[in-house]
Amino acid sequence: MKYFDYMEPKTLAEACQFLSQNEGAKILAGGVSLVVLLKNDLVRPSHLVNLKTIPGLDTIRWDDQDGLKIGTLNRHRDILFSPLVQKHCPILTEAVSKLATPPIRNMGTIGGNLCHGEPSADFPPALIAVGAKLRLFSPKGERIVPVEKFFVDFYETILSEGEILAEINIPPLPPRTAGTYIKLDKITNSIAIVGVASVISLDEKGVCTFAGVGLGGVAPTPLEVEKAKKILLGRQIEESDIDQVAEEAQAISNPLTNVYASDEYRKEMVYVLTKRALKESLQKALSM
Amino acid sequence: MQRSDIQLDINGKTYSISVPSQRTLLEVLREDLGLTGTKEGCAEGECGVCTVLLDGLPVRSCLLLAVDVRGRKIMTIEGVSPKGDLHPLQKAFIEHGAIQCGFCTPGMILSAKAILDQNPFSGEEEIRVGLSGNLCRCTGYVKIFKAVQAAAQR
Amino acid sequence: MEYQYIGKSIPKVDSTQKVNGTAQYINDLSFPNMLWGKVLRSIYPHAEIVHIDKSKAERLPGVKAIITAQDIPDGRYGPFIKDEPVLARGKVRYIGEPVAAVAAIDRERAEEAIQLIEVEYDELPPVFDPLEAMKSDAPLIHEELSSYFCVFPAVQEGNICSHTTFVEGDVQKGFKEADLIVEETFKTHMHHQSYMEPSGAIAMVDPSGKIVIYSSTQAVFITQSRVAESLKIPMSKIRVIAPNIGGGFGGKIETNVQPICVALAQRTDFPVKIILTREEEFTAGRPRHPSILWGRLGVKKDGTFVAKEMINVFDTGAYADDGPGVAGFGSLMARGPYRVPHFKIEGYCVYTNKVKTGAFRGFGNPQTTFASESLIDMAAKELRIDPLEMRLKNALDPGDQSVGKQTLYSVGIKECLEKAAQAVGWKEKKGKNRGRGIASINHISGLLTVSALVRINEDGTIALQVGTMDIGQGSDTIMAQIVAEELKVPVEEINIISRDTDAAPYTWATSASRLTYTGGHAVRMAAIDAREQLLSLAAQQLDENKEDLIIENKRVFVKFSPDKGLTFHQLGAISCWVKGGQIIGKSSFMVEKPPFDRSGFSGFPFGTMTGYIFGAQAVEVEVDPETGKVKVIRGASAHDVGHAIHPQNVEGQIEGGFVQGLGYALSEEIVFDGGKVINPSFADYKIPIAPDIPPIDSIIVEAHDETGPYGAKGLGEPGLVGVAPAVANAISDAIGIRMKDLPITPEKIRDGLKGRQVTIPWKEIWRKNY
Repeated sequence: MKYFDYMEPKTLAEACQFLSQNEGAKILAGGVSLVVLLKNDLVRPSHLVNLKTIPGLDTIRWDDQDGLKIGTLNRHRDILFSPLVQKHCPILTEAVSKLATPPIRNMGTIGGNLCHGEPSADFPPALIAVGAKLRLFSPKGERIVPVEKFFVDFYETILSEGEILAEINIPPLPPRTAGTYIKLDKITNSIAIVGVASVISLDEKGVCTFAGVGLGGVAPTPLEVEKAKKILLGRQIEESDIDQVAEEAQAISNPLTNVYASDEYRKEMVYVLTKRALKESLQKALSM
Repeated sequence: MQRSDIQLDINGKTYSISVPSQRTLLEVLREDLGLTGTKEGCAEGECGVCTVLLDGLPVRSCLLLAVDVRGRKIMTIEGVSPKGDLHPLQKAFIEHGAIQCGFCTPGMILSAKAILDQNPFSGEEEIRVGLSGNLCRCTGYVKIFKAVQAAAQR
Repeated sequence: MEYQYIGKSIPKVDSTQKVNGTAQYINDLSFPNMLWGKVLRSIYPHAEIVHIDKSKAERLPGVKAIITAQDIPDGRYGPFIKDEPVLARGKVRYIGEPVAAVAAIDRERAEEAIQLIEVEYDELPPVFDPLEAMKSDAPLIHEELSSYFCVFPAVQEGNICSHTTFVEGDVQKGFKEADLIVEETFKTHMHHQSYMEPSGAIAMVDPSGKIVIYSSTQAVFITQSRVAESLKIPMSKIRVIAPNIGGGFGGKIETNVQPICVALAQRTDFPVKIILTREEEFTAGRPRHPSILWGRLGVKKDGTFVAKEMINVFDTGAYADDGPGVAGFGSLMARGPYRVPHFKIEGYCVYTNKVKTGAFRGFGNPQTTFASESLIDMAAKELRIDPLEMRLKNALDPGDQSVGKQTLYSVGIKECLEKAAQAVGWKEKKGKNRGRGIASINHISGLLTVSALVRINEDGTIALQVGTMDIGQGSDTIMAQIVAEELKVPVEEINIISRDTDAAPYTWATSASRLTYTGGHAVRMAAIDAREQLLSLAAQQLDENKEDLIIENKRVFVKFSPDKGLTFHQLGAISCWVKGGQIIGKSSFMVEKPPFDRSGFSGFPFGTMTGYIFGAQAVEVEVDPETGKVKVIRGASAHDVGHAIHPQNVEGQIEGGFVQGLGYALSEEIVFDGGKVINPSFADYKIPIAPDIPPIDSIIVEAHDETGPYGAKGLGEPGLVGVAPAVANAISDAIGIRMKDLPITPEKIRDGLKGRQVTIPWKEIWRKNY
């Protein structure tokens, strides 16, 4: 690892200030991705800014108006064992239970996971499916962006110099909502070859009132199947609707070939998994 | 080069050292403090032989910067049976033949300890998940599961 | 026979230090003024080295030495063919080959220095595919092959560094007698040992000028020999010591950085440590040979095997290393534990511009067994015979012969097959998309030499000096049990002195599943020798007949007057101070009998082999027909070990081998882009983790072997050998698709189900070119 200086801000504002004044500075959260990059000399920061010294970034709160508010520094394990998350957004609990192994979950943070911009990461599909928003903090102020707009390219996000992801917000979901995250991995909980998350809400008549489908591992960024809403909302969902969404998921996918799988295989699998995820979500919602 | 004077709480003892920012906890343990029971197997957080407990939870010491763990409670294999009497888990590992080359063993025991500290009655599934971050290439894990289960029932 | 120590799963002798973190491994050792060494590696698969400029690196403060081939003797080393230089000389042959090395005051400085060395290369055309490399117009990887020293009469041509053939009967005639001939070409991949401890060494020159090497190795005597031949140092000037070894599986038999470490220590006069990074392990270790295996099997309508032909092409990478042995031994095992009256089996070992490959649990046997055991299921399917029945029908019985016509007496294959099948519910009804598969295994455990000394100390405690090295499998415990049994002393009173070339008598390696059978025999003979001397001394001192004496509780006494006797302590003291000199039992044992009938052999690089071991592995799988994902529901692994000296250790080998075999079958593969490894980390090279493990039934079968200690045979390797074909056979049973290409990834199954499976046009390739 190359030398860098290390600083511990006390407030978000201080951290933002420092980051915007020091172009080479990088944020340290859990470190599970960053330290590997540092060791391989893939990033060479002048400074590391440790967010963990800023109080208040590791809370999970719920209010009926805004829903779940998850601070950026919550570790994967905090989310996995949070009764609030389990209650209000169980698909996130499911996704994080499929993410890596306990030592990594004891270190890695949700904010770090998102900002790393890994296209196969497990959080983004689930967050996309539930319509999560990200609160980005910078010296210029704050902006709120939908999670699917956060990713730009492989390992690249919209964060600008000095901007920090502060909080993940999941708006309240209707009462009869069910979600599923399905992931194809090489061995248990290894990186997703393809990951698909789906969420469906039904009213008393079984009509779809909310739907979301998020994809991982099939493009340079996590993807939202935007047309899923158009296809599913307002309908009593049938097999053919699900098929249509799965075909759309396949159509928007643009995967690459790597040591885990070929682009063709991923393209076929995103169809298979989207169907499975939607069917399972629908089954669950119908039985609620 | 910036150096920080830090204090680390390791196995209940306080160590005062001066480290450059990029020094990992693993390097500090092995090279600065001579606590070589914690091993290095891949240096990038994949194998688990460098596992230590941080505030009771297993973490990768190769991915932690030493400056980042000030004030936290760190336990290494040397702290599991400080007085020489083996911990029930260590006894169970011996009795059930859960050790072959021994290189994964310190990390494996710490992960197992964290499982049982959280739930002394952990079942096999919980044990498998709890040990999933520790690679073992010799045993096929079978005897490790048996040892941890036996210790759980004690 | 009732034994006091044999057959008991006592706590392993090295457990306590391993469980409390005090066991020391190579990277835990350090010495005053120790330097860190680092290797500069080739970035081209095949290139001439035009010029190396060390000047910038030399100017870096803290750098103590930089060496290239010019700075060291031109010795070549290798177990079968002496073809490998310590540092690339004239040209590089794979990406990752050592080109230069640095010693500096710390790791960071050494790494920095490496980056400052400038190497000018002139690229040569590379060849990566072994079938391409065998063509007469392929780029030559070793122009000077014919001048290399070989330890056996190698059959060589072009890039083929060894060609072994086994023929018995009349193959043409045999196939004419067959009612059915199944034929297929199989492919296997490069598979890494992935021991948890990275390889490494520390070398220093002691004040007398002797080289002392601490080596992460399975064989201190091999380290000694390779350093001697490569750097042209007499063996008497080299001492090799091994600390605890964090796993080897064959990958740490031969040397890696040891000669480089020695060269740097000689140059600097300081101790030098080199520890490989995990990336170096994957790119410059010695993983399992990829192979292309063509075979055909001729079968009678009733399932009787009549003829078999196989051509096994092993890709040894840039250097032969253990390749000739792997190709030869894998082919020797390719007939399988069956009666096959007519066969011709060939093994080719071929150079390519990839990382050199070497020994790995099974030594060529997992590859050929994958092909052989798949062919059997293909024939069984055609003939509508239960694959288990077909195996049982042809399986060897006591009195049948090995390849090379040795008569076999300890043959437990049928019991293994029956028990493994039963354990996975062979005859039970199957669920949807589920299938069961089985594979037989044959292997050897008697090979080469082990010598041992058993000394009685002054106080009656025991010193066992033996070169066998425990690398975790538990051999020290086995050896202690054997000495304890023969001398009736507690295991704790036996001081095991091994892992040091200056302290233990010569032994070949911890390899070939040989320590219990070959090593156990030597240790037992030495212990018996010591015991007889002890009894003679006691008889003389007590003025009694030796035959009337009994040993119990560290005391020799007269059978009919138990009060009359001498303790071991007394006898030890008498021998050292009064009469006869110290009691030293000794044994130097070489596996020589029975010899092979070599009339049908050509180019086989070994002498004789014995201690045949048998096994069968069975699995039940469930295949997801949409994703192609395979879930192993349960597994069973039954092994004929003759007599289990330490049943828990036996199970440990079975379970560990089985899981490593699952990785081989399903998830692990070193992937190349040209000559470059593109997944050199555990992040991208996936070995099984705890939740991946199915229930495994370890079954010990004991077909007593008269030639082994207490009837025992070996086990280390077979636990891995049959897993891949058992899985492939189970997949075929589940979904009707024959997987011919390892590892069996979901994608390949999916391709199979969609009719897109790639087949190798063997006949066209082979006829056209060879």
